[in-house]
Amino acid sequence: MANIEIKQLEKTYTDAKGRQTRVLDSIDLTVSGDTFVSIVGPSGSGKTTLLNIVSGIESATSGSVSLREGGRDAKVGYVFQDPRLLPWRTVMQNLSFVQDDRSDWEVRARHYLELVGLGHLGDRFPAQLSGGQQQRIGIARAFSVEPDILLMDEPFSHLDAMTSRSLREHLEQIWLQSRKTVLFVTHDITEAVQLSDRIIVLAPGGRIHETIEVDLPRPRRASDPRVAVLQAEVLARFEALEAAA
Amino acid sequence: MVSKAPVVAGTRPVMSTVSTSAPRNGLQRRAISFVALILAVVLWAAAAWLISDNILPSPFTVFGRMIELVVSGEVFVHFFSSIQKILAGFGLALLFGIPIGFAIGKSQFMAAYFAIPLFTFGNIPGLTYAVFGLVVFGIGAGGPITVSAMVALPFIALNVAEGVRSVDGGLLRMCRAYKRPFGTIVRHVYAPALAAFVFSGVRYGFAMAWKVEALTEVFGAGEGVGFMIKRAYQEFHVGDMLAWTMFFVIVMLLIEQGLNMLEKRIFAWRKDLA
Repeated sequence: MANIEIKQLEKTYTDAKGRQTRVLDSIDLTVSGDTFVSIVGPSGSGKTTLLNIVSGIESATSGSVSLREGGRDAKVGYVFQDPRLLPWRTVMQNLSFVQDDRSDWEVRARHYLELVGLGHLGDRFPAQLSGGQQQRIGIARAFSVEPDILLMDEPFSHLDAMTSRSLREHLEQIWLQSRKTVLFVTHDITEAVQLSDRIIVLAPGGRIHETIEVDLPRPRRASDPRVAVLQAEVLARFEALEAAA
Repeated sequence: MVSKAPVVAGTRPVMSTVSTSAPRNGLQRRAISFVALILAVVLWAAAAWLISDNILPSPFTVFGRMIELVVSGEVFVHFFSSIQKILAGFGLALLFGIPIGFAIGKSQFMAAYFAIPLFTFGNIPGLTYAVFGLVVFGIGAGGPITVSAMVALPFIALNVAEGVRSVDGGLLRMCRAYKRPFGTIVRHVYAPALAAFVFSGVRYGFAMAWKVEALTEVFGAGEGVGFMIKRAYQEFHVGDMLAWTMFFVIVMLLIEQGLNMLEKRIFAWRKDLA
């Protein structure tokens, strides 16, 4: 069972004049097992920085992050805001690029391409695909490494409403099949309510404002009245937080 | 980290372009080049007709002399000698230029450290290189090889540096998130991203190295194209001078064609998108 354990995490940036800006403040967070956790918060609340530190892209000023699966380090998949595919490699070559485990990687890659509905486009180059298709390749790439932990940074924020709704449904279907531990950054309350088991609300300054448990049956639809009610409730809390800031 | 580009006059990196246009346009371009070539030969013939044949031989005289040099095998001996030295010098330029360019592209400290040496190497007149080669190495292969390397190195290094700076930071962060080994990142991210810049550096660097190498042979060599041009000048055989120069041009065009073909092959993925 995968486990994300974040203890007393702080991140401070220092500019050229020596002025310090704290973007994450005393973050304590534990995510275990097949849990889908969303992190929401206003702009500048440190959502992406938190994910970058968890993935190892950035280092923390203080505190610790542990990603474990049983007795070993957890394998991590990452879906970015933009697809970040190698433009000079085909779709399959892009999926091959991130594989540590070379055994059966093609079977895994084709399986996840099929799941995102792009099994027939393995020989295409990224520029030959639409933005939505490229993002789906990014999702297939992350799942194809068979990660213990999946990190997602606003993966649908650059897409139109129809495409992002379709991709959310795809993501939920794949997640229900694979049941990974997911840390999902979003600024979209609908997305957070529809996908998450738990929503972490970050306040400006990068501290955890509150944690909201989402106990609704899956699969969820945005049109489900229970989703809409919870969405309105979270939105009201979010607006209150922004007003206080 | 993205660092600022060093400003080195006369050796600014130039991004090469890869032709992905339709074959009809390629044919049109070749036809225009052919017409320009014919026109140049006609103008040359007209000028030779007006001026004394001793001072400016006609294209037919020069062409006849070229055939004699090919039949005698003399041309192969001297071109082989020159090309050996250029390739050795250019190989050294690549060997040192690529890592230096990589370091400049990745580090502001290295960019500052190499700014003046590369500026100096890139702006020293070819004649100075030629004399320097003769003084330090005497008559032999050492001078042309060294000066070819020194002339080509700034072009290679600065273009590679520009290529390194152009690498998409998002792709590098993706590599970090997926914990790709450095060798894999070099092979799959840096090498393809740098290829266009390396080609540009190779193209300009090789042309410069070739010119300065020939000049060095004029001053301090016992064989090679530059040496043969000097000998023709000393004996006032203008036809020979032009014949050797024409060989020089033909070889440069062949090298350019070879580079174009290699470039098209490497950038086939762009053509697939057209």
